[in-house]
Amino acid sequence: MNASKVYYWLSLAGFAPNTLNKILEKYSPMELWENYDIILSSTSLGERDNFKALKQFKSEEYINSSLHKLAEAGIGVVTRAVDKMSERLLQKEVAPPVVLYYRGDVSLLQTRSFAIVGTRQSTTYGEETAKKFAEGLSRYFTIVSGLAMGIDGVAQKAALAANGKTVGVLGSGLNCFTPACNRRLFEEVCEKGLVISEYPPDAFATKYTFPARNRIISGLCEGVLVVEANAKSGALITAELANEQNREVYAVPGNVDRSRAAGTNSLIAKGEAKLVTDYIDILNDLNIVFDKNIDKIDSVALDNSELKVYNLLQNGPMHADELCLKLGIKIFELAPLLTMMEVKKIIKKTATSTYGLIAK
Amino acid sequence: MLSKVKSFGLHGIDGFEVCIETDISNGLPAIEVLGLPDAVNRESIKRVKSAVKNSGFYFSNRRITVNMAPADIKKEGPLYDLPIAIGILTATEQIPQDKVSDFVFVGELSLDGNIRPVKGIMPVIISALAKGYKKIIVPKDNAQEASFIDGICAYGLSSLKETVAFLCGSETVEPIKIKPFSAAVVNTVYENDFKYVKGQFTAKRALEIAAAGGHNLLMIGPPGTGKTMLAKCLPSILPDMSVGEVLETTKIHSVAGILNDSDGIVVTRPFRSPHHTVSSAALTGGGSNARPGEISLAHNGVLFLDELPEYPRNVLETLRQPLEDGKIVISRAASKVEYPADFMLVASMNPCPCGNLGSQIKECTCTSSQIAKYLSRLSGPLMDRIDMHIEVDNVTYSDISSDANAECSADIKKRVDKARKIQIDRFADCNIYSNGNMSSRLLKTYCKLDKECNEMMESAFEKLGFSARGYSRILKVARTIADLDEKENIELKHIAEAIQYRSLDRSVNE
Repeated sequence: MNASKVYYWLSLAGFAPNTLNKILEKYSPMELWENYDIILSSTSLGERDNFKALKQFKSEEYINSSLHKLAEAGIGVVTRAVDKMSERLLQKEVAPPVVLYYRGDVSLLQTRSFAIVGTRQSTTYGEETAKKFAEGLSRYFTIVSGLAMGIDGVAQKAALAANGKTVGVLGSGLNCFTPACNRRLFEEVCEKGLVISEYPPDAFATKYTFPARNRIISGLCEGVLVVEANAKSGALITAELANEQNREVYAVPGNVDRSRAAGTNSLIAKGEAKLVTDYIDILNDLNIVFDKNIDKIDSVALDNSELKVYNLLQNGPMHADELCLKLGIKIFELAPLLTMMEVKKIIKKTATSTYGLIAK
Repeated sequence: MLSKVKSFGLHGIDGFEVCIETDISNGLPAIEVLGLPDAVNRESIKRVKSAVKNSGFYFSNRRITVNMAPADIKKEGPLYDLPIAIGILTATEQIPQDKVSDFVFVGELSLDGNIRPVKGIMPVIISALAKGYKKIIVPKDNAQEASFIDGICAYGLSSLKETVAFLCGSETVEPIKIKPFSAAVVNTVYENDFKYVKGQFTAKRALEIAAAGGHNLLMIGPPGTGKTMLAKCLPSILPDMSVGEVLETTKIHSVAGILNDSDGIVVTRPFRSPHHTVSSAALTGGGSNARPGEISLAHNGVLFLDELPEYPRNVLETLRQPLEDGKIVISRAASKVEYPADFMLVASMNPCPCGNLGSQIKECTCTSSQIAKYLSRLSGPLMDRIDMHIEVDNVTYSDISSDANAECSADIKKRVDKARKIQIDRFADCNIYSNGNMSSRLLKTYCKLDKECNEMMESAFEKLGFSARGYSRILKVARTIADLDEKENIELKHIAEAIQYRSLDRSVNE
């Protein structure tokens, strides 16, 4: 019996992370393995279901065989006793998990990581923003998020698309992934990145597991970016935890009349997050040297009439009708121009019938 | 004595010959109707009895047997009242048999002997003409409808008494004067005209293209942006109907009994907009007494479905076959009827349940799963049949304040007519009228792309994330744009413009 297996055994009992951390402060794993009944009976924990579970699973044979079964199913286990666990996660403020179940490349836990989180009810604007940040940051960081609908999923998808690395942290067991609409993304992250969970593979998510999961997201990372959050968003919990854990927190501001910007704006107002409008801001803040040449605009040949459209759009996105009026041309002359410029990736549709330049 | 009188019944939008045989024999007074009469027909005999008596004729009190041949086809509707009355009067020798043999009779009788109008006069006359009949007696109120068919003498009569007098030669009645179609074409004044629509350049242009090429069109936009208004303006720019189209449409409207009595003919393209509570039988036609549905009434015209996702899915799916074949075959246990249904589908919808997605002004409160669910109410196969999707947005302030007068419908219609003429000439041997109906074979022949256009298509699919299903749709629309431009071949700018009208094809996360 080694410490790692004891940690695994303890995790099977389903203690809340804080409770377990408190016990582990006082007793070493081996002490617990030998005398758990005496130790726990002296506390209120002696009566609980967790205690019964410990008793039920306390067999080296059982633990070996269940670890073997997990390995066969492609699920790995990393415990505190093994140095694969991220050092950041082990900090006291994080309430470190005892065990992490994982699928994928566990070495990503050791890389520089950055979290991008936000509301599940994202807007197109929020998704575009998350994508832009994720693409840029994925060149320097592993992008960590919760594989949820909305901002989380979009950021991780964008990181994968930019050939970056990404880590998904679940609020359920690895075999009980939700939401179903991100299932494909989940599989892709398992394959090309890493998915971790502190819950046994068959545990379902509950109301309480998601906030607990958020502490791991922020704990893993050097900083957290909140892209879009309404006043009661779970992303705000992540931001709060990140502050408690002394991580850098950044937020993207939004229009004052948009409900999905209320959360991020209030973070900025309270001084709980730094305002950022571009991923370069974050790189600067973290003193990361970046290559200025990476983002140079490819020069594309524009013909005369396309140039006129380009010049008009430099003042911000514009409605097709307005473009027609300002250029003094008919819609059937404008429409082909728009297609050409879209194909050349100079402009794109930003809203209904509205076109804007693609920011490079 | 036995008498024989000719009449016509309706099956689908075609007439079939019915021979009404009446026999008076000895026996207790009774009347028997044979030959699969429906409820209206069985009652018919009671109307006939009163009408005969009230017109001052003698109604036999012997045994009367009426047979409507052929005996195996169900006879529906009240149009056999008049021939049955004539048959009984002939059998009782009040009219000589040789006087009625040349005539076809249709009409409903009222108890006082007046002849009331019936549905389906136009198809009956056309079928009678095809069968070689030269004279037909129709209700006077249907005279307008009858006046457009040349080659047959139609007499519009108002009562049974007048009919008998005319048959016996004691009264002369002039046949209905034949009018050419052009007489019916008056300059229609449209309630909605494009000159009242400010801005909306993209939508107007798209409607012009759709009207010219008969393309199915979907408008997507927030509530209150004028989608319905734009659709209502559409009739004012639709191309004129050809003679063949007028006849087809009038036949359907005649069978459905919705012809305007004062016109008697449909010369403007129909515009039908059934509410979203419509049942599938009302949309496609059918019922125990088969009737043409909304899609057939919209034949050669426009079927406008406002708020498309609100229609029940099963109702929308019934549109698939007619959109493909231009007709609908309604099969019921007792009969099978075919109605033409070659219409242009124009639909409108909101971009998301709250309606504000993509709006510059208002915030959309829908989640992406709500939006996906909303859009999934429209099945892929149905969307496959829609050539153009355009986004309609709130009119910007600069549109409203601009002094430039919007183009009026009449001017747009001139361009549309010209483009349609090109298409009719091109498809003269193909049995279709517009680019929207092109088959894949015709597509290959008439939509050849040069290298430049092919590259454009390729990059649109690659860079804008287009789905493959749109390919042939873009070609068809580009063909129409080229026709509007009066160009023989499809050019780069035509393809580039057509791509703009496929907004739903773009993948969400390009």
